[in-house]
Amino acid sequence: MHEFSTAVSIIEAVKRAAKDYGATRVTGITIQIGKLSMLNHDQLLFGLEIAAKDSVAEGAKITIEPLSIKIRCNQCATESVVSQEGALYEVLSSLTCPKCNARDINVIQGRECVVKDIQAVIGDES
Amino acid sequence: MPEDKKEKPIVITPDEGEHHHDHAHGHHHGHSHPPSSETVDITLEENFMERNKKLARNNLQFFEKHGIRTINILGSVGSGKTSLVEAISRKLAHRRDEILVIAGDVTTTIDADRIAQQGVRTIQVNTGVECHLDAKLIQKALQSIDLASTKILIIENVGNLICPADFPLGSHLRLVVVSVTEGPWMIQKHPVMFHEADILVINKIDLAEVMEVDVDQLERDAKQINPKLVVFRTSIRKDIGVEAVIEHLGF
Repeated sequence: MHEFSTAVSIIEAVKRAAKDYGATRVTGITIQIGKLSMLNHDQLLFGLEIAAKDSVAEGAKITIEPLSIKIRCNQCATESVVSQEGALYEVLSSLTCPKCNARDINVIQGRECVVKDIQAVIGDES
Repeated sequence: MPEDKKEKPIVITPDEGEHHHDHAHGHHHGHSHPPSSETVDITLEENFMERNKKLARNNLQFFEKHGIRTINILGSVGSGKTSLVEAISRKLAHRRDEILVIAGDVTTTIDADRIAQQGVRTIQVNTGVECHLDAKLIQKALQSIDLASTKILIIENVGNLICPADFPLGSHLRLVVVSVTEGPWMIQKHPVMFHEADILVINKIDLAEVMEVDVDQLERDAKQINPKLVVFRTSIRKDIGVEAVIEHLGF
């Protein structure tokens, strides 16, 4: 359960960016979370709402985009995106290089938690 | 149990406001001169996992430079992590000056106290509210002690099969302990942890029959997720199988 501390870190980064750009209000935040990350999306959203309270980011529309798992084959070096959906056990159990069928692969994407961008109001709104 | 040498654990807790991050650099994609107000897109691309990964890489470099072999022991509460650390310390009693243990726990020093009874140096890291150790806590723990004689570092993570999977520490090996008393589904339910592991220790095998848990099936589940996983079967309490684990760890 590290959703809340992650949420606080995200809002801190958003606040810094808003300050750097002289933004008066942040209206949107887009976050990307890898499909292998242990972060629970609902808990993170809840944490973000609380962390954003009384800040420039209060009320911002938060969008979470899942980031696909990407693998690199250790035999033939092919990189591929894993399109299989469903239970993680099934997905991880069938990670195989689509080119040479090797199971000797490395996961190169899917564990991230990235603040991709924010939408911010700059200037006097009145 | 060695009577002549008992160690007292050092206790480490996180600093207040530990969660600072590198400064964000955005790119302004909006119009350059706003008349009064406008909404702009600001690109951040700040990866919150990258900071821990970077610190973990630094830790690994540090271990390599100082010739310290490091393992990260993971598993549920009650699976036998502390018992395994105790058993390793006991069997390597002749080298106990070379061993350092970092024991992670939310608030208590129970684990570190147990391990220190074996006469090895022990650092207790209390995570406070967090559910896992991170690379920064390890770095901080290492600064609290003279590492001159240290050749083996054993890190016992917080009892949890979920969150620590997100936080590499910079160890050479990740070892996960599961016990048959946790039931037949622990591995299928926590696939990411086993996918990231190098070694699996299936513990309490002497209780498998009573628990009606099929140890072969547990091993098949784990290998299905991670074909490279090296699997050992132990009953740490009955001293079954522990020596094979130690041999494989290369201590």
